[in-house]
Amino acid sequence: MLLDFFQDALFAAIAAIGFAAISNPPRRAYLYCALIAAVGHSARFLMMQTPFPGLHIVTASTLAALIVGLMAVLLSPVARTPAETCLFPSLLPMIPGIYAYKTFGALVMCIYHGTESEFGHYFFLFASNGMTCLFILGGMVVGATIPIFIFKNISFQATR
Amino acid sequence: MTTMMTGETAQPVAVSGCSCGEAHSVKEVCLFLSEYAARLLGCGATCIRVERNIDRMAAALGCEAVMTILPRHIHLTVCTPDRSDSYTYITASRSSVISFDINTRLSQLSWELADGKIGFEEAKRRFDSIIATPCADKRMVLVLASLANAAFCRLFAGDWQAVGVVFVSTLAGYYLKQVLTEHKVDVRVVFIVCAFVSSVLGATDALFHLGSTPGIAVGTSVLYLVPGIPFLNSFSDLLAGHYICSFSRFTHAVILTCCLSIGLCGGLMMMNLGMF
Amino acid sequence: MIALNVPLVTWCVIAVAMLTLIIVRLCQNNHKHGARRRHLIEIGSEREEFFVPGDRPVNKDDRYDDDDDW
Repeated sequence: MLLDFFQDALFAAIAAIGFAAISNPPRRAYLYCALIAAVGHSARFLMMQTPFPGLHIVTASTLAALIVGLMAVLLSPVARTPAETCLFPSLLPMIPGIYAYKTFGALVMCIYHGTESEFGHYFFLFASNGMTCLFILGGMVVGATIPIFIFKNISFQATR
Repeated sequence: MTTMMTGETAQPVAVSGCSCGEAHSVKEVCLFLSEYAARLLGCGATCIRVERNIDRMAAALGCEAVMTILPRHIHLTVCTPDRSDSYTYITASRSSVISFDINTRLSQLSWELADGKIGFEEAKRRFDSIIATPCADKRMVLVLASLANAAFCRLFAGDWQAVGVVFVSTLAGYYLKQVLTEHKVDVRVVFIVCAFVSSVLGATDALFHLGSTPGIAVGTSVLYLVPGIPFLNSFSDLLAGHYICSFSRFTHAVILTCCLSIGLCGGLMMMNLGMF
Repeated sequence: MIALNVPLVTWCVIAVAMLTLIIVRLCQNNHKHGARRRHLIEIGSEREEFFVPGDRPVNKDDRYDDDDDW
């Protein structure tokens, strides 16, 4: 369990560094992105486990994004970058990518399978994956944006 | 006729009440700010940041700025506080790659100007040097993105064989993406082709029975293409009340995801695999 | 008769295509950074093939000096 937890944090950090690199952050931001993503992703992992709250992925993502947002806002003056520079790359490992493309996969399957029961099954997959994806995304952004607005003075003056 | 002549030949009226201490007209300020806004929007900043940075700089230059941010254009009006002089300019937003480095440095520039550390001319010079910044080293990005996707595979409980397969397929797919983008191929075509190649190579695990989690390898091999930043920006704009921008960014992200799924479905079909 | 294995063929085609792309790009890069483009097959001039000691070097301009006359 503990090993799983640390493994989750380590791989989330690697993933954050890599995905951050795609969006060209300043060099000093890499370390902060990795740290914040590791904490955020492992927090979500922990919240979804059964001995712990065992939350649904949407709730867990929102709460984890809140933690990520808080850390990003508090660390952005230290890194001297706007809050988004640390925040968005750290959120990338939590983006529900698999749900997103499963949504479209199910849509294609809907068209391929004509009978009512098969169509119904794939339409259910389309709707459930799509809604999960949208709610995770919405929850993540709401969770991550709340700290930016609470600490407006810090977050918009970080680069001052 | 005479008024027109004098209007054309007269020196532009310098803005009074500006903190930078240099003479500049409303027109110059407007042209600079609209170029700045177009670049900032193009490098992937949220609407609220564009608005704040522009307001801050306009105030420092002794003007007021109001703008409409449209998906592909910025419509900016700069006027003096007493409304005696105004200038309006519409710029097409510069679509470039997402770069938080440029975003950070442009935000720093706005503060330096607002705090009176630099003047208008110096700000223009710095702006030119910032937008000329080249992107990060492509090979480093390629390796880091592949490592990230491989780490992602591990996060989804894939075994080490799957991690290796995902690393290689991402390396190939992302390299192809860089090559095609360099040749100015349409981004949607790039997404379809890259997703197809990555998913076919990601299916190596299933084809040669290498490990015990072939499904995870195929599923994660295309994740590097998911447009995360456009999705996040779109929801961020939604919360800030910029609904048109939010909608257009969301549509853009959905279309890219759609292209990614088309490529993935094609790859899975050719490899005789199912998504579910 | 052996049935055509579509997945295997697709996989091979993609893998070979990617390898070719990478190799071609690497070669192109080497060419760009190399001092001179080298071709596998080149057509040489007559002067290069029948070189007689005392001939003027190939890359020297066709400029006559007084020395050349005798």
